[in-house]
Amino acid sequence: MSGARLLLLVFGAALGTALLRYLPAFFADRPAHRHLERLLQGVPAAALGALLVQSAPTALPPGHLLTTIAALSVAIVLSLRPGGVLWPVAGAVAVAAFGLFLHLP
Amino acid sequence: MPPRLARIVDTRALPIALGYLPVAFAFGLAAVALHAPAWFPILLSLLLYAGASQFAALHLVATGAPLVASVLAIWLINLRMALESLSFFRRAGWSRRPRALALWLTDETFVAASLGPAPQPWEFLRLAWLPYSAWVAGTALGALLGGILPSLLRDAFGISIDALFLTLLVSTLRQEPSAVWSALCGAAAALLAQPLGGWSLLVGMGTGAIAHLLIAPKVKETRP
Repeated sequence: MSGARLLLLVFGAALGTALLRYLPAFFADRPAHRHLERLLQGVPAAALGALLVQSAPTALPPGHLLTTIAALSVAIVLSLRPGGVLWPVAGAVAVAAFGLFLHLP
Repeated sequence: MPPRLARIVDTRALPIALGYLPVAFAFGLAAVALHAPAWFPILLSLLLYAGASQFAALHLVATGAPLVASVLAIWLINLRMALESLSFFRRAGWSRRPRALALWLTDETFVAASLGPAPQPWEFLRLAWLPYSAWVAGTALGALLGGILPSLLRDAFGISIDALFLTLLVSTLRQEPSAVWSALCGAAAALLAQPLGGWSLLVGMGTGAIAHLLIAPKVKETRP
């Protein structure tokens, strides 16, 4: 693709995506049916589940399944303690780095 | 985190930014490896700011797909953002002007901002500016200086977003146990829809939301 076509691709994609993000914000004030309300309330947890399934298997390079499981287990255990998200994430990254350094599976 | 820093950065922004850096770095690196000019991935990250569709854009450019088809494909991949935006702003109840911050709504910032109390605009800003900066900076570094970050660190940071998601999931389930149905159904549907590629996330979100509609209220009603 030439430079001009690449530029058109960037602006076309960005404009459409900006509208997808921005326009629904203006429909958010309208009163909705209680079923739609409940449906929308379920979106964050559903997105969380779907994102986990999609990204967790590829979080580390292939061949490190046990390290991935160990790192995420550490995140779960540390998240049971009160005190924010920083320690669970730091613990998971440390375990992942350790596993990758030792070439654990 | 020092209180001064905590005033301008939400702690949940750090793991998101750490997770974005290596992915953005890889994106910049991949774009240059495909002989795209360095400005292309940087401009995409600045203006589009949507990971999956940016990688798809690279693929479309590399395979020589027609321009209009490429743009339409990117819009379709990002269709879920309309659902996220609607869900987020119904809950947030902001006035009109700060809604421009919707442009910084990504899957990760949406999930982080949607769990717990509804954020005010400045609270969302505290959450969103660092991941955006990390995404653009990571892309620029990958495109301009690829290969300087040790691969071990790059790979290890890949786990940070999933660890954040798990942490958020655990805290959500402790506050609202009925959310387990949305999360489980969303995960199962996304898993089954893997062959659909970029659509699987939208399918997962839709299915999980329907599960919440059908199951969660009943669970709440039967609770003593």
